[in-house]
Amino acid sequence: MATTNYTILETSKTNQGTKYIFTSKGKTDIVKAIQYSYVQEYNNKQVYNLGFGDYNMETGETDDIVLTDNGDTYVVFNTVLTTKSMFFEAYPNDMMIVQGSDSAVKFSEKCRQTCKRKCIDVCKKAHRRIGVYREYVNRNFDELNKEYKFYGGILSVDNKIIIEDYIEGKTYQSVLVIKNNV
Amino acid sequence: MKTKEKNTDNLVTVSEMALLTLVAAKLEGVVLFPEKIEEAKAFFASIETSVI
Repeated sequence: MATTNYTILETSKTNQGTKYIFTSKGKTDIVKAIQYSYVQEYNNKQVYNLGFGDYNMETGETDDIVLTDNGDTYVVFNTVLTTKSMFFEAYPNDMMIVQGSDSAVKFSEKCRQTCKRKCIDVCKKAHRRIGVYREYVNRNFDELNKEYKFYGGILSVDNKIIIEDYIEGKTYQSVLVIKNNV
Repeated sequence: MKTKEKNTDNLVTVSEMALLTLVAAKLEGVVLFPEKIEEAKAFFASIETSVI
């Protein structure tokens, strides 16, 4: 049976967040790092941002922009998602926010430097990561709803944010999650 | 094409968990994605309406 997720090393929890590390075993071995970093308090909940990227063994740096195409995207993403329940075990009263690293303006700028697509207005490779996360939520919405409450963040035309109850299939730039019944 | 030779005399083989433990030690106390934290703060600063 094919692997659906990789073994994760959990690091110690602090009030600034926690990290999870695993190895992607596709075409080559790549160390991946996940970090839930403390952002701020919002409506009496401590908010942590989910970040995720490749750890470069030679430079010691972690890159959340690089697209490695290691042939195991599904397994890697599934592994990242399994840390959600680990996070809420450690921080049951808190909130997590997910924003795709390819949703930032700098991603589109960097992509245009090398991309063959030559997109003019909207970078077609942007927002893929949050898109994958939304797909996962949409696919498992009923099951996930039993344990978690999801909210969707929308960027309006005047650059203001609207947070609403998550609606399946709707496009969001950010997803916020809390554990139910806390 | 030139082939780069690497001296492997000083290299050791470690298990996957030992490698991850080593990486974890190197990353201890390090904020990996500071820009994401700033983006998240900007997100909360720009909230106009919220059901939360």
